[in-house]
Amino acid sequence: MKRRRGDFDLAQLLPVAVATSFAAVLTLLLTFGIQRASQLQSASSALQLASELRSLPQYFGTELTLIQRGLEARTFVAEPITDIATAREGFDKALVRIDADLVAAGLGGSADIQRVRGALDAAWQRFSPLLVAIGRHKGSPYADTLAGSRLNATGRALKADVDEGLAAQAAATRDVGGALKDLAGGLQDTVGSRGRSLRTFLVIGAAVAGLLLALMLYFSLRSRRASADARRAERQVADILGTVREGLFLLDRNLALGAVYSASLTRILHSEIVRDSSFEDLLRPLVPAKTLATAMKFVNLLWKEKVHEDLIDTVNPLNQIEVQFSRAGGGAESRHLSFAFKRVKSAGGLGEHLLGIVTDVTDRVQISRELEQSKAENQAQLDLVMQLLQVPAAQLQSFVRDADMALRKSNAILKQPGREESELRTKLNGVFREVHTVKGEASALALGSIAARVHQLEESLVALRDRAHVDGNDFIPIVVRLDELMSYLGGIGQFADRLSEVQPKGDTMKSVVPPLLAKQLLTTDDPSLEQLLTQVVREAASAQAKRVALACRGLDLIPAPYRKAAKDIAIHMARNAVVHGIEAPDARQAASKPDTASVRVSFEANGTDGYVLTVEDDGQGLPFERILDAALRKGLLSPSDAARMDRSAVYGLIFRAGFSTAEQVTEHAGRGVGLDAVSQAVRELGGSIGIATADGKFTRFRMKLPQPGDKIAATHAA
Amino acid sequence: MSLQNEIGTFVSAVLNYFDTAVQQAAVVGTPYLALGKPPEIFDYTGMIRISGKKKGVVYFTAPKGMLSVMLMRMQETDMSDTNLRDLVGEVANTLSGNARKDFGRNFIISTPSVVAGSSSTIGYSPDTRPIVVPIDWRTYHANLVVCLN
Repeated sequence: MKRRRGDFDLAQLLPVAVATSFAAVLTLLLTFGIQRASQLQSASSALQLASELRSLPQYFGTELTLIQRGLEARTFVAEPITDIATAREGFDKALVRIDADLVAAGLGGSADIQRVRGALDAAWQRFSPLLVAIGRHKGSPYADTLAGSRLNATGRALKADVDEGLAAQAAATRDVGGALKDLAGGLQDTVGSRGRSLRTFLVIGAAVAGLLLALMLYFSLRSRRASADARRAERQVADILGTVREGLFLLDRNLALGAVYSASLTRILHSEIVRDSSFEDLLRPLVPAKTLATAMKFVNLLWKEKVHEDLIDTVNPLNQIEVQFSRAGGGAESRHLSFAFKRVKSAGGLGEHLLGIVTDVTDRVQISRELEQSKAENQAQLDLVMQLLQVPAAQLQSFVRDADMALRKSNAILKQPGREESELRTKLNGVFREVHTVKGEASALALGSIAARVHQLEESLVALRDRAHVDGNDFIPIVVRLDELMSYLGGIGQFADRLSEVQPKGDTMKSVVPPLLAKQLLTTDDPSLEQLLTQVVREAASAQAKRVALACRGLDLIPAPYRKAAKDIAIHMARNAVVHGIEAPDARQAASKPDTASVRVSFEANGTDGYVLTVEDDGQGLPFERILDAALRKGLLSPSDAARMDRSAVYGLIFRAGFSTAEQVTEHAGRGVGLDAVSQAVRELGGSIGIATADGKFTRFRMKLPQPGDKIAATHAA
Repeated sequence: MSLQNEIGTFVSAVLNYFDTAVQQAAVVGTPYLALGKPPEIFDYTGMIRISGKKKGVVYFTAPKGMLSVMLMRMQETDMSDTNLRDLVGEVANTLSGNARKDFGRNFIISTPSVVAGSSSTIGYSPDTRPIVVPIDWRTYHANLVVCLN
C-alpha cells in the first residue's frame, strides 16, 4: 500500500501531540490544585489563629480582676501583670501571622476580610494601650505602715489603670471578640469554598489523568499493531531480498550504499559489503580506474532531473563488464556483470535513492559469445579453406609438421621442472619464441586465419609477461590455448593430408575447382625459401603501406640441416627489416631515397668456417636513441648502465626477450619476440650475429653459422 | 564456463584442500599437455567422472610418501592403505563438491572413486589431450589431471 509522506508524519506525530496536550492540561490542573491547597492551608491557619484569639479578651478580664482583687487584699500581683503583657504580645504576633496567612491565602485583596480585619485592629487598638500601661508598672504597689500595708503611688496608679482596663474590658470583649468572630466566619467560608474548588480540580485532574492513560493505552496498542505490521513487512522484504537472484542495493545522493541490500549482492560481487562504504569503494576492485571514473560520472548524472533515465542507459559503462575474482586457492575467475540503475521516484519528483541492480550475466555472455564464435568459426572455416586451397599441399603438410613440432616443443618447455619466478619467465619466453615462429611461417604462407589464432595465444603470453608476478596457475590459459591450437592445426593437417591424397586424381580435381587453383593444388614441389620470403615481405609491406623489393641470393645453397632454422631466421629478419628498418614512404621521400625500399637476403659460404646468412635493408638504420629509451623505459637498464654502454652493446639489446621499440603491437611487430627467437636459433646452431648499421642508410645482420658438423661438436662441447 | 575456468575450479579445490585440511600450502607448477602417452599415475589416485555438457575425467594422483606425510600433518597415525585411499578420495570429493558448486546443472558429476597402484590406467577419450597440473608440496610431487572434451 502506498502512503503519502505527509500522512506518515501526521500518524507518527499524533500520539505525541495528544499525550503532550493532556500532560500539559494535567500539569496545569495540578499546579492550580497545589496553589489552592496552599491557600487553603493558609486560610485554615488564619482561621485557627482567629478562633484561638477569641478567648483572649475574657482572659485579659480575668487577669485584670485578679490584679484588682490582689491590690485590694495587698497580695502579690506581679504574675498576672506579666501574664497580661505576655498575652498581649502574643495577640500582636498572632495578628501579624493572621495577616501573613491572609496574604498567602490570597485574601489580601478581599474587601470583606479586610473590613473585618480593620474592625479587629480598631477594637484591639482601643484596648491594647490600656494593657500596655498596666504592663509598665514595675516594683511593689504597697507601702508598709504601722497601720498595716497600703497602696503606694505605684499601687494607686496601677489600680487606676486596672480599673480603667476592667471598665473597657467588656467593650473590648464585645468588639475584639466580635471582630474575631466575623473574621473566623469569613475565613470559614473561604476555607469551605477553597476546599470545594480544590476537590473540583482534583476530580478534573483525575479525569484527565484517566483519559491520558486510556489514550496512552490506545496509542500503545496501535503502535504495537503498527510494529507488528512493520515487522511483517520487514520479514517480507527480507524474504524478497534473500531470494531475488539480482544484487539489489540503494545509493543515496552521496553515492553511499544503503544498509539494506539483497543477499545475492555479496555472492555476485564475491565480497562482503562494508558498512557505510560508497559505490566507488564497491566498484574499485572490479574495474580499471578509467572505467571507475566514467561510471561515477554516469551515476551522478542520474541525479540530474533533466537527464532522461532511459536515454542515458545506453551509455552506461557498467552495462556489461568483465571482472576477475580471485579464487580461494589462487588464480582468478572471469565473470561478466551487468549494473543497471533506476531512480526511486517520490511524489515530489526525484527520491532520495537510486536503486542499483547488478546481475551476473556470465552465462548469457557465454552463450552469446558461443553463438558469435560459432558464426565466426563458420566464416573462419570458409576463409581457412580458401586460404588452404591457395597453398600447395606439400607446403601445407610441411608447415603443419613444423608448427606441430614447435607447439610440442612449447609443451616440453612447460613440462620442464622449475617453479621459481625466473624459471617461469624463462619458460614463458621459450614458449613465446616457438609460437612466434609458427606465426611467422603462417604469415609467410598467407594463412591469415592460422596466424590470427597464434596471435591470440601470443596475446595471452604477453598478458602473462607483463604481470609483476607470475605463478604456475597463471599458465592455465596458455596451456588451454596451446591445446586449442594443436587441435586446430591437427584439423588442418588432416585437410592437408586429404589434399595430398587427391593429387593422383588430378583430372577429377580439375572438374570441381578452377583450373588455376587446381594447378596449385597439384603442385608437389616444396616451396622455395625465396617464395616464402617474398610472401612475408609482401604481407608486411602491405600492412605497413610501404613499397619494398626483395632480392635473394644463394638461398638454394642452404645445407639440409640448416634449412628449417635458416627459414625461421630469414622470415623473422625479413619481416623485421620491413617493419622496423624501412622508413615510411614520406620519410624516404624526405631523405631523397628511392620510393621502393630494398631488402636483400643472401646465404653464402664463409670460407671453410661455415656459412653466413645476411639480411640487409636500405632503411633508416638502427635507432640508437630509441633503443636506449625503450630499454630504460622497460627497466632493462639502469641510467648508470646506459651511460657506460657502447653502441654495439646497445644494439645487442634488441635481441633481449620482450624488447621492442614499436609503439603499437600489431600482428607483424611489437611483441619483442622475433629477434629473441632469431638469437636463440643462431645460438642453438652454435653461430653468432653481427650488426652493421648507418643512420639513415642501412642495417645489415650477418648470421655466421658453423659447418653443421662443427655445430654438433660445439653443442657437445657446451 | 570455459575450460580455463573449469581447470581453475579444480586447481582451487586442491589448493584449498591443502590450505585448510593439511594446513600447509601446495604450489602449482606450470601445466602442460600429456602428449603421446598417458600422464604419470602415482600410488593413489582419486577421480571423478564428468558427463553432460562436457565429458571426461578429472583426477588427483599422488605418491604414497606424500599422502602419508599429509596424514601425519592431519594428526592421523594410521597410514594404512584404507586411510591413504580415504585421503585421495577426500581430495576427489573436494573436486566433486567444487565442480557441483561452480558448474551447475550443465555437468553431471560421478561419485568420487579411488584406484591404487602406479600401474593403474585411467580411461579417457583418445580425442582429448589431458592437461596435467603439477602440484608440488614440500619435496613431493603430485598431479592434477583434467581431461575434458
